[in-house]
Amino acid sequence: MILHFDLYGELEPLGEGGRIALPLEHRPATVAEALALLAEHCPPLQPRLGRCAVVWDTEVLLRSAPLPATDQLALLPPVAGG
Amino acid sequence: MSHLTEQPIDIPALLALDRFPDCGGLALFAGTVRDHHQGLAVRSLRYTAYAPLAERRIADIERETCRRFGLDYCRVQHRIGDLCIGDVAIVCVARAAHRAEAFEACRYLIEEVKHQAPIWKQEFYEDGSSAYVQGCCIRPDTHLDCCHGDAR
Repeated sequence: MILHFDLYGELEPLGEGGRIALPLEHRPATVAEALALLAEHCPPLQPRLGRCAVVWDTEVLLRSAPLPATDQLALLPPVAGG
Repeated sequence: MSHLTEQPIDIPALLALDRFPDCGGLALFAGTVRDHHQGLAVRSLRYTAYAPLAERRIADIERETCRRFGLDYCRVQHRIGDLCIGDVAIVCVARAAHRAEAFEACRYLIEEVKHQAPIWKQEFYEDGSSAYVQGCCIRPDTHLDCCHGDAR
């Protein structure tokens, strides 16, 4: 399976067209496990992941949460509107 | 009316002056694009957003603001896209019976949106370089002090 991460803000240039496709042999059990695999797949992301929110649609996921039944997540770096 | 717009913000429409006759106080905050940041000359800005969550969070902030300050009406609209110096980037409106709660609610609106809405600001400088403004981490499960830069 492939898990897609849509990248926003300063992360956007790190993916192709603002997106990273993460190939997976086995589906990770939790959000944290998926992020660990993402960091291995894309090392430039690793130092930034600690300050990123992981979002499924409009739900901000805890790292300990089970990976939702989706192939698409959003990775949101620190925000700076206004 | 959407909370995000690529068009110039229609401020009179946000004021709702034809409604809420019991309100004697109207506070408005407008954030505009300034020409400098941390010693660098800014030429323009680009705002981007994760729209589904930004819309939801701003709506939640409006509801919480009305509840907390006892308002019947408040509104926030944020520009997205490329903006020039002097353009209005965000407008917050709070209407209340009296000025004190209108001012306080308006301040609360802008602070909460800056800290919670998934919106990003990329600055383009006069020297040709660009950078994203460092902001606030919206991870729910971290205790890090995650606000930096322009989050004040």
